[in-house]
Amino acid sequence: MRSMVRVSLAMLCLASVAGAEPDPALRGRVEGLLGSYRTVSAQQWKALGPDAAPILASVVEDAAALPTFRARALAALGAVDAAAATPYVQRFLADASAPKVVRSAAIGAAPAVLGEQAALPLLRPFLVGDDRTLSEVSARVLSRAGAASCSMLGTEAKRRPDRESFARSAAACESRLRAGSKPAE
Amino acid sequence: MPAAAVTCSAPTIVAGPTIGPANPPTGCQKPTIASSYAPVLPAIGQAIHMGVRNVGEQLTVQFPAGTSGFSVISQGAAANPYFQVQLASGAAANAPLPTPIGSPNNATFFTYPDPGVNAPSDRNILWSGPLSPGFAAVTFPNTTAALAQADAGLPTGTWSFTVSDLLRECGNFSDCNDPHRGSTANVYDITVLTRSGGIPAKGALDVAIYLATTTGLKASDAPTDPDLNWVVQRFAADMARGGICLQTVTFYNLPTWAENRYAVTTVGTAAIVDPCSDYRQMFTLAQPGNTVNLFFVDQLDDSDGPPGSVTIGFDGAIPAPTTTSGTVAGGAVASMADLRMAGAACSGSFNLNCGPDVIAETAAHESGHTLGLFHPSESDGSSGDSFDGLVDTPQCVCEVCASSSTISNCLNNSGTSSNFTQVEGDVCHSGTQVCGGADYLMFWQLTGFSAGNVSPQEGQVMRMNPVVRPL
Repeated sequence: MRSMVRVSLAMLCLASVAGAEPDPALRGRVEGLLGSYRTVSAQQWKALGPDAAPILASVVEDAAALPTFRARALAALGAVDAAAATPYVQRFLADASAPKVVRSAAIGAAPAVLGEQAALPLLRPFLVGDDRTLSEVSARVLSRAGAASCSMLGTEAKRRPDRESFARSAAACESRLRAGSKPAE
Repeated sequence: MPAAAVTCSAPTIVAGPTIGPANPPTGCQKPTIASSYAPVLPAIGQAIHMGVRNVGEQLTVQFPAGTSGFSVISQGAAANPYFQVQLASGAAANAPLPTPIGSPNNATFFTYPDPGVNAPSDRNILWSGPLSPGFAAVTFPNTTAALAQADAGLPTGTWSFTVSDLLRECGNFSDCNDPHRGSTANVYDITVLTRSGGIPAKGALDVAIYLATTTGLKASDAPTDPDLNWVVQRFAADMARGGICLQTVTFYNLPTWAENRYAVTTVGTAAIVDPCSDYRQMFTLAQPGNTVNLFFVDQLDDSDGPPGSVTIGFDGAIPAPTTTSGTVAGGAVASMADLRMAGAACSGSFNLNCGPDVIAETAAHESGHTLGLFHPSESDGSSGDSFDGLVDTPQCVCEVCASSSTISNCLNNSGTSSNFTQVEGDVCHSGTQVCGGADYLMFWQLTGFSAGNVSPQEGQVMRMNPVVRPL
C-alpha cells in the first residue's frame, strides 16, 4: 500500500513537471546547454531557475531525443529540482528497455537524488549484474558516495577479483574516506 | 562568411588490427615519442630533435629559407616532479611551452603572458587552455596576424626559445598558489618541426579511430557498418569545409582489458590535470604515425557536472602534439552512445536527432581542436580572450546578443565568474559578425543551428598543422 502511494505521488509529480508550459527563450538556453562541449556545472544548471525543470523533464521523456541529451537532462534535473528528478531516476533504474546511457545517468544521480540509503539497494543489482557498462558505472558511483557504499563496493571487489575496476574503485573509495573527504554532491 | 568546401574523393575506411599490449601495463605510462613527421610526410619541413633540456635553458634553431610555420613539441620526462600547478581556482595541468621565442633579428616573437595584452588576433601565437600535463605542442600559425606572416614567409636564420612550463611562469599570475612556482626542476624532450611552402590551398589528412567498446562492435565491421559510414561521411564533409580531404580513416580494436577499462571514460578537471587518469592513459595506446587520433568510447562521463552527467566529446590538448602519437596529450575522445539512433532523422543536413550526425560533428569538432582551433566564442562572450585569434570567425558578444531578460547578467555587466549569462546557440545564429557563430563547427555548443561551417582562416590554421599534408 505504502509503495502504491509512493508511485502515485511520483506519477503526479512527473505529470505536473512534464505538463508545464515552457518559456521559449528558456527552452533555447536549456537545449543549448544540453549540447555544450564544455562542462555545465550544477551551479550553472541551478542558475536557470526552477522553470528549467519542466523543460529538462520533457527532454528526459522524449524518446526521439538522443540518449546522451536525455541523460544529460536527467543529471541536470537532479541539480535543478531533485524532487522532480526522483520519479525519472526510479523509472530508469527499473526500465531495462531504456537506453543504457540514460540508465547510467539514473545510476549516477541516484545517491544525490534519492539519498544514499535509499539508493544503495537499488544500485546493488547493477553492481553485481551481467551488464558490464552499468556494473562499471555503479562501481564508480558507489566509490564516490558514503561509507556504506564504500563497504558494499569493497565486499564486491573481494568477491569479483576478475573485475579490475571494482578493485580500483574500492581502493579510491577507501583512500577518500581515510582522507576524510565528503561524498560527492 | 564560411569557406566553401573543397572537392574530395570519398575517404577510404580501413579495418585495422587490434593494437596495444595484450595485458595492461604496470603503473602509469608517460612515454616520450619520436616524431614521425619528416620520415613519412612529403618534404614539407624538417624535424629537429633537440634532446632532453632543462626548464630555463635557452635553445637556438636554424629555420631554413622558405619556412612558413613551425611547431615546438615538448615532452616531459616520466620522472618529472611537477605535472600540475596549484592555482587559487584549483589544480591546473602543468603544460610546457617555449617562452620567450626570439626571431633572427633579436625581436621578441612570442612571450607568455603577452605583456602588451594584444587582441588574440594580433598575437604571433595564441596559447591557451585546455592544458595538458607535461606534454604539449605550440604551433605557429594560429592567429590572423600569424597567418599573414606565414603567407609571407618567416625570417630565415637563427631563432631562439627558452624551455619553460606553466609552473615556471606561474609567478606572473595573481592567482598562483603553487609553493614551487618558478621551479626549473622539470626537463622536457624538445622537437622542433618546421613547415615550408606557404599555406596550402588544400590539405590531406589521415585519421585513426580506436574503438573502446564492450558492445561487440569491431574494426572489421567499420567498412560496412552503415552508421559508422554515415559518421565518416559527415566528418569528411565538415573537414572539406576547412579545405581538408580525409583520405584514410583506419579503425582499430583495443585489447580486451583496454575495452573494459576505457569503454566508459570519465573526463573533468581531475582527469584532465592527471597524466595517470584513465582518460589520459587511453591516449597512450595511439599508434605511431601522422594521424589525428580519435578514441570512440561507449560513454563519456563528466565528473564536473552534476552527478550522472555525460558529455559528447573532449580533446586532449589544443593543439595536440601531432606526429608524436602515443603521449598522454595526443588524442581526443568522442562518445558512441548515440550511434544507433539513426533512421529518418539521418538524411540531408545535420540533424540533432540523428546520432551518427552528432558523433560525426563531435569528431570533426575535436579534430579541429587537435589541429589548433579554439572556440570562436567561449561561453561568456565577454572580452578579447573569450574569442579565438581569427578575425573572420563570427563572435557572439554577450552584451550585444543576449536577450533583454539576461543581458544584465553578462560577465561585462553584473555577472560574476560563477554566475553569468552564457551566449548560446539561440542568440548566436543571426549570421552577423557580432552575434554569430552558432552554425560553425567550433562553436562551443552543438545545437539545432549547427551546420559545420568553417571560416577561411580556420581552414588555413588546420592546414598548417604538421599532420596535414599539402594536396
